Amino acid sequence: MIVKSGAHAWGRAAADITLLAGMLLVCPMALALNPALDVSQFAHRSWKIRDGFVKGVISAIAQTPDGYLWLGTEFGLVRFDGVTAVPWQPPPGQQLPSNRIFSLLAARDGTLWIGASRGLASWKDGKLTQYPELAGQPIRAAILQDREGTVWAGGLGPAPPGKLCAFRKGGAQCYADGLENGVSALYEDSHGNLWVGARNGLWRWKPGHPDFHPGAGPAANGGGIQGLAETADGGLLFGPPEGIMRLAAGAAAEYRLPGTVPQFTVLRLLTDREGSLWIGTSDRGIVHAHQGRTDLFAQPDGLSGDYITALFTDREDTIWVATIGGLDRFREFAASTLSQNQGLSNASILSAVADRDGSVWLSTRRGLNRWNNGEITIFGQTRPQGERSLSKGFAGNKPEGLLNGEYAGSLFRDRRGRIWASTLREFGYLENNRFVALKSVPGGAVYSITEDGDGNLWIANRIAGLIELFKGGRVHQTPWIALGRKDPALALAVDPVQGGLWIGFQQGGIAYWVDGQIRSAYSAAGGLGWGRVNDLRFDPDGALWAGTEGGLSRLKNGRIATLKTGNGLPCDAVHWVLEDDDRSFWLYTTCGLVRITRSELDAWTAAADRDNDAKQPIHATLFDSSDGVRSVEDHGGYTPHVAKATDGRIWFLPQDGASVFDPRHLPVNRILPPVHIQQITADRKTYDVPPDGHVGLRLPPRVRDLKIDYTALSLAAPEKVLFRYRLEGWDEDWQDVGIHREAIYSNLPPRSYRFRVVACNNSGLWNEDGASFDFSIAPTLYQARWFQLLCAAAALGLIGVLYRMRLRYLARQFNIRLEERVSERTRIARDLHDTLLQSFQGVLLKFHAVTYLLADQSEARQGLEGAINAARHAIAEGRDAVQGLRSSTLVDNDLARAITTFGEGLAADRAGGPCPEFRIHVEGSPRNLPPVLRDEVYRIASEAVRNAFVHARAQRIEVEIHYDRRQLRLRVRDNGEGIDASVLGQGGRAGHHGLPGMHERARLAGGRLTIWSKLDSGTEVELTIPASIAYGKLLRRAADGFRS
Amino acid sequence: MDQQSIRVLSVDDHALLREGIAAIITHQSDMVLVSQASGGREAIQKYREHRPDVTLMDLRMPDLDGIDALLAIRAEYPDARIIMLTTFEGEQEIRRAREAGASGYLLKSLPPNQLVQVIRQVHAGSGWARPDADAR
Repeated sequence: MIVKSGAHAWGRAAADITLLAGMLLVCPMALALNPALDVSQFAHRSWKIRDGFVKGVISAIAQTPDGYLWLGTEFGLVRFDGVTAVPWQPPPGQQLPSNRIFSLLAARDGTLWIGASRGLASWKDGKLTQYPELAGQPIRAAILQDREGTVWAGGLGPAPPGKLCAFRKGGAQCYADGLENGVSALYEDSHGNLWVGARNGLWRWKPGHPDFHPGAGPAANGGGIQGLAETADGGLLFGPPEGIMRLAAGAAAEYRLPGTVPQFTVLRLLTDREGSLWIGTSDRGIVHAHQGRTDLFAQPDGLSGDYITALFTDREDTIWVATIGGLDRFREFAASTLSQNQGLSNASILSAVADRDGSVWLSTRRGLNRWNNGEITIFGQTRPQGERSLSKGFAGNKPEGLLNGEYAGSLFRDRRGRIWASTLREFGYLENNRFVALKSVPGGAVYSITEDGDGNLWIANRIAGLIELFKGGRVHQTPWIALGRKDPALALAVDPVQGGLWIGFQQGGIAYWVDGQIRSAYSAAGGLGWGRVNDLRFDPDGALWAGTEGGLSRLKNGRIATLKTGNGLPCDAVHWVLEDDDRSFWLYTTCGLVRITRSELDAWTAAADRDNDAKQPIHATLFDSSDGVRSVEDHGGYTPHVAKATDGRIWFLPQDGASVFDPRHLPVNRILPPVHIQQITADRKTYDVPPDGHVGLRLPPRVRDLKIDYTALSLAAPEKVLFRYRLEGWDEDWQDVGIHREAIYSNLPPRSYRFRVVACNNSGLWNEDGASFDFSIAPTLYQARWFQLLCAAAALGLIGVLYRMRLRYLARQFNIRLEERVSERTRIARDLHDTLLQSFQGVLLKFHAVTYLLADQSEARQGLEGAINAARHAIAEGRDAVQGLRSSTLVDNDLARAITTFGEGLAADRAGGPCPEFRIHVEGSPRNLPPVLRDEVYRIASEAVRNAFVHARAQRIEVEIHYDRRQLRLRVRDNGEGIDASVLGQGGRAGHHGLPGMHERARLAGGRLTIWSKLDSGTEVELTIPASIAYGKLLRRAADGFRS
Repeated sequence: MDQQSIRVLSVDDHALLREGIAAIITHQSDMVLVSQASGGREAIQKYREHRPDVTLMDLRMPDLDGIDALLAIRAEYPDARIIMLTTFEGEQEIRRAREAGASGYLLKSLPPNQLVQVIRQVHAGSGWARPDADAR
């Protein structure tokens, strides 16, 4: 049971400012808890052990600089981020002295000091350090870090005997004298004195010589002094025993709390930044002393337990209370609410009006109350409430504060300051603490009261209609029917410029009433917000604003523009509209309170006036339940339900109590929420993420499900912490995920990733740096880039090989077909030759024989001879062609020799005339050609040579055979007459088929024939055949196979 | 028939050609066709039978090649005068024929004047007879 105020308010504030330099703006008041408020008026959240929050009782709370809250429990250390409590595991192989933790300290360097039931340990950077000096001792006192940085811890004993140890960088120093009874509390005050609470009294340990003050009161509590705190005037508070003692100027005296306080036993003391005193008791929950008042908050109020084990203030000035039942958090609302706890007669408040003296009149169903500077008085009572009983519920069942027995419905304060009120039976005003009813004016359900420029009162009465109460006392009633309405008016407003009365109706629409008539009327059809008109108000510019169910309408110069959700308003239904001292507009809508700053409003009104364009978007700030603003659907009818007090604060009625806020001092959390990535789970295997996140985790291949857990450490209102994250390498944009604290990805491809997450706190302040974490997914073999490239290369290689195989196959097929064709040709030739040609020749001979029968030189004979000659020529040509088709009877493979023989044969046959020089030339190493191809080449060569011999009349004929690596090249050159260009162009002499035959033969052999010739310069015939066909081994094998 | 007529044996497997040659020879006053054969074996037989002065032997015949028939006849009758008939000038074949003992060769496409000229030449005992190169 240790006071967790080991570090007192000022010291810690200094530390905080050092840590958060630059983040805290001016106005530190904005965060601290309002000292005027009771605990029940704060935003309270409770986590109960019974609900499974943590396993054991929490005895200590600390917050490390990274933002995490640490809870020391019976069963170990727990880390809390405001949403999830995660049990802490010691580093592998290391252990705490025991798992029952009594005290915690987050030192300024980030070390977490842990005081357990059997010793002290500290944890930093993943390493746990034990301190044998205090081994075996229960460390029940708070662990303290003084302003010099020394860490103090004390053992309670009794066995081993208690002692106090100081841990500095150099080493530890322990003191046992006088402390054998054990150390139960430690505290450093604003003067730098170190106070040590013991079982039998209080020590002022340093500076200087230790002073002892024996414990006062009846037999000291067995646990010793446990609570230590400082008052604003520098006195030291301590306890137990019963109540609180105060030590000042060396003397201890009882410290009396304001008001009537039941007896309690102090376990913990905490002074918050505003100076309010929080007392954690053993059986009464929290006792809260502030601004001259004391209030209680215990289990019936919602506290998790009545036995308080720890009190702690975190960096966002949230108060944490650990009890025997769990953990509670207190934070200030933007709007605080007064209820019966604060002295109201009843929580159901019908109307509120601000008085000139700063007080606020609140009409409850059980009587009219008046709030003034924190005091609530009931109308009709002469003296203020004074000391209220602190027991639950106000003992006010007697009808006090009623106006002639009735509660007040609507209220109104006129220009002279008189408060008018209506009841169900009467209508009147308040004077001298009494209600004066006017006989002339009926009571009833009065919805609105207002005053015009002449001092006359206008009253909207549901049954009686529109009532005008003249200054002189005359009354004029106009029923609603006369205004052409069946429904009553809910809102009235006097036109400050033009005079006259503006009336807003329950069924919708507004009318302008002047001199007993309706001058103009506006409805939803004309642009007014549809539905009930809840409120009418003029602004200083003379524009009329109407809060309707369908939005906030503005009427000026006969033109209406309405602000709706389409413009950015959170909700359409507006209950009232009010301008604060900064001229911002406050609306109470069904979503909560909405603030529109002046500039936004001006921009919108300008657009509306200038362009008649009401669609301009506006930016509005919403204050909802997390800010203490309750939403209401329907305000109930009586007015006013909003009042602006003289101090600038705004009071409004949320069905349940009276809420008040200060528009100029709204609490804003200006602390950037630290963002942490906690762990990454890949397919059920969890990896912790180191704080700096850049280690670069390498995940195994084929990870299917990936879950990344992250958090942001803004503990004030974690439900309002919003997140955005982006996985670089996968997500294109930032993902807005609201309050989710995990990111899930499936089937990510193998590559490097960086996960980045940012968060905002409950006031919408974004920490744009956030946290990031690098990791990568290893590729499987078949996913690895090098492997894929290898496969691609192999595939390409395979394609290449297949391609070449196909080419070779095609070449082979081609050659087979070529051979087939050639063999077919040969067969045809043979047939032709053997049969047809011979037949022709035989016939010719016969014809010739006939010529012998004819008379010599006769016409018949000459004619027949001529015909026979012609036929012979034809047959010769045919025979030449056929000859060309037959395959040769070359025996050996030597092309050169064959051509040589042929040429020599031609030369030898040449009877008479000069013999041309005939030469053959071979280049390259001769290769064996496939027989069929060899024949074709020989045919072409011999034809060319024959042409050279016979037609060219050349002197020199050269044949060149080149066995090139890539092709077979054969050239026949002569220096003869040449071929006429026209003949060459036509491909041959008409009627002669030598040249075209050669071309054809070359093409069929798979090669190309080129002929160059010029008259009188010679001729060159070139045949080229690609190597794959000329030398193809496959061809030869196939050809040989075919032959056999 | 005059006793000075040259007695010719014509050997060719092609009927129409045989008839043509026969028609030409018959019209020559100094020649007489004594026999015809349509194959190599028949040629040998007919030669034995008729013992002609000049034989016209087709080079290519199905049953027995002209050259083989030539060799066979000349083995029996070394002074046989045989002219090879060929459709085209295959040098190697002509050389073979010459080496085998042919007395000359003729192209079947030759005009008949050339044909009978060579026959007379061979009968007269000139050397290797071959057609006139220009007469193509």
